Amino acid sequence: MQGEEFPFMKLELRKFTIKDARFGEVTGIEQGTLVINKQELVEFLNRDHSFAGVEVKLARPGEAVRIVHVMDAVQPRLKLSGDATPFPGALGPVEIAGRGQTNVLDGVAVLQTGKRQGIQEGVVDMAGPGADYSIFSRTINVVLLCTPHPATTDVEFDRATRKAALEAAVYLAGPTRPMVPDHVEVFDLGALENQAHNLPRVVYIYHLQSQGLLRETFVYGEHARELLPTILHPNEVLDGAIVSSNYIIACQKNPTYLHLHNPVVLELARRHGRDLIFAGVVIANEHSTLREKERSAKFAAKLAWQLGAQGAVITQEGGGHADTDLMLTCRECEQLGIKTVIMANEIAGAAGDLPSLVDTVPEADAVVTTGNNDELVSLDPVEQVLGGEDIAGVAGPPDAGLTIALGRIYAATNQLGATHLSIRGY
Amino acid sequence: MQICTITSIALAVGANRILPAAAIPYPLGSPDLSPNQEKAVRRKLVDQALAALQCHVDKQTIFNA
Amino acid sequence: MIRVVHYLNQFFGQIGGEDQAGVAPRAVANPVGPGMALQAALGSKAQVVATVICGDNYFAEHPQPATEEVIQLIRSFEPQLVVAGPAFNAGRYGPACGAVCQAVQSQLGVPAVTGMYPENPGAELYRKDIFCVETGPSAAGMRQAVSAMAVLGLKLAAGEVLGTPEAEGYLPRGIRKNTWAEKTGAARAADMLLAKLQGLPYRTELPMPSFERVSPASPVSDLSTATVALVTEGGIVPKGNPDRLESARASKFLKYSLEGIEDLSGAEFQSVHGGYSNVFANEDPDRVLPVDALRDCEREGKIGRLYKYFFTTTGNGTTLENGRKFGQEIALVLIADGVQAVILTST
Repeated sequence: MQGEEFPFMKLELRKFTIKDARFGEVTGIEQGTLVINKQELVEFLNRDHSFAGVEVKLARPGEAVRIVHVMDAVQPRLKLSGDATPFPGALGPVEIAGRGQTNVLDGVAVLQTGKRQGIQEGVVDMAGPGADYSIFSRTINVVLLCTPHPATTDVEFDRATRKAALEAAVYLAGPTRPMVPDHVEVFDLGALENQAHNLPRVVYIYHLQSQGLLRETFVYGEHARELLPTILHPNEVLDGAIVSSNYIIACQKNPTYLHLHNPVVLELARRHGRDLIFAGVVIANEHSTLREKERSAKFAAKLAWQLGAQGAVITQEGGGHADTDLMLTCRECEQLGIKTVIMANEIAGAAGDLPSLVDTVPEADAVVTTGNNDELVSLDPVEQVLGGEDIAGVAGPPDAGLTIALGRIYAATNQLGATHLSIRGY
Repeated sequence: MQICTITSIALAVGANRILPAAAIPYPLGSPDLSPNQEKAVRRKLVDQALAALQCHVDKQTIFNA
Repeated sequence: MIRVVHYLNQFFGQIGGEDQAGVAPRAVANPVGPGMALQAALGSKAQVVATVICGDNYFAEHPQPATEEVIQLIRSFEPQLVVAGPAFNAGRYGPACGAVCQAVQSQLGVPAVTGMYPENPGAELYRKDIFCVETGPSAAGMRQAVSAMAVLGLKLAAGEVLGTPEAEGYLPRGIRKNTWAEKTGAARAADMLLAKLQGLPYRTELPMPSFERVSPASPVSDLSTATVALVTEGGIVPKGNPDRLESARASKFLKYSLEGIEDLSGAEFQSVHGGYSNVFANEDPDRVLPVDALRDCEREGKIGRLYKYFFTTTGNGTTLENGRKFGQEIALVLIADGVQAVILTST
């Protein structure tokens, strides 16, 4: 039935524009306002008593609210067909993502917060100068704070919090099932494939960071730690194939929300058939040894070549040795005659006068920069702090005005190119 | 003397004596091995590092593990 | 009236050609050669009070004394602005102009401006530290170059905040400042790739940075009597992290005693580094900081002794500024304590 209406890899994102949110008696959507029965949501998320406590709070753009200890962000979504889930494998059974109808709450993010061992958390300000930097300053945020039982291990807690954020996302989108969306975006790349032969074929090489507990990225529910680069259809990315549990550096991690909204995939998909042919997505993990990094880079480039790529956009996740993955893949592609543009953020020091990357290759001659982590920003005082009571490394109350490195702001220098931040050389 | 996994970074930032390590989370380890075997692997790396410290180098050098 | 001193080589200073390239620095009153055009471009706001001239070879062969002599001469005229060149693509003249401008700024505290073709070796050497107007390769572009240098020089002398290199016409100095672009990063990447594929011009937003080079240390002559130290950026700290080493963007390094410790135990030490999975390091911290193996070497007499402390920090998004500072401070302590060799482990 669905096969006929929806050919393989035709995806409809059915968008419900949400302008406000409040707590109320029945979870639902009333004229663009998301209403949440808080108690029902809390009981649902903690039905197995996985947590000592679950708190749910709301933060809207423009409010004098600071969210601290941000770990991940997820968009509320619902898959309309059968028992499929919008996060296959990570939540529920494995179905191939990227086809059929997916309802999305446009303008809403579920933010998972809290402390994790050895992790420096992200900050999101909903107003003031800090709000310019995070895309999550412009979403209506449903902020989850799950606290573990004393005996819960780090592994168990991470699994439970990841599941809770995804379940909250599905719960919040639940009421849209019978509703008519505000608008629909169709992704049907196959239909254009044979039309425009004179357009350049472009592949997206998408580095994921999966290196162990709290530094993990999941593909269809399995971590990508040992992944040999493989090919995804762009629709799979946009429809929940990739889920993050990577919390390394606040400004430069790719939250689940941005995997779902991968800006490079969206850009290439929208220009498909007009400026270029989007020939596919190659995912490759950033591994922990040089041998594996080399293997990954060579395989990613080889797959791009097999897809007939003339050009490739390459992105990274994280810094330090992730620069090596970016550079190696760039070099391998260029050596195969595939022209590359890479995207990177910078660590140029507070004054902007230090080397921006830790690894370089001469082939990287076309780079888009997404900002300098080290530049300082001043945040206004706020009235309310959600997600915790302190900010690591910051003395004094968390609601005060602060001057911090941009690197502390969640997704501020996002390496998928989600924002307009760039750098000018002086 | 720097022992590190991603030697290209050590080269980029200007280290002169570089020894390749096992992996980022355990540069001098090998968790799959028994404790004794693992210690022997670590000792070998340390011996190589000590040997490198006694070598004259006039440019950036990666000492092969 | 702003007092300006102009620096020229022997050729533009009208002393002579290659046969005069060895002449030592000298000063003459008033503008000479291109100085006329410079004075015209400066207008009534500034006056070229003197011209300092030095031979290309004299400068290239003895850059340090030549710089000092030139600076002495310039100083005597008490300038408020120094203009050097333009040097176009002249390979000896460019570095001389760069060195003069840098010394004028740092030693006299006076603003300076020069002009060069971007490929002039002097541009590569000095663009980070000075203001250098982009010129054409040859003196055919003299009028344009001098006029741009005059405009920029007057702004510098007035202490004005400068705009972008593109707007002001100077070569980028490699200072990176965040800014908002019209399009998202993803859209800019697609645009840049299409331009690259079509053979159209594009400009990378991040030219590959270059790093400092350090001369290699001489080898340790006798390890069996040497003190060897362990230093790590792997975030190894005593269990519980009593001194609160950061898991990312470290602002400090720490020093802990190794006295009486034969083997780092996961019961007493741990990693707080946020950049890698700490599971393996927490099981056995020797995997990051090989104390056990070095103790064996010490016992066997292979090394004199293991230094009684180790230094640790977190290399995870830590700024190069801090990294450099930690390195310098750690090195000072190690040298003072007579350490001859260091093994630095990184993750």
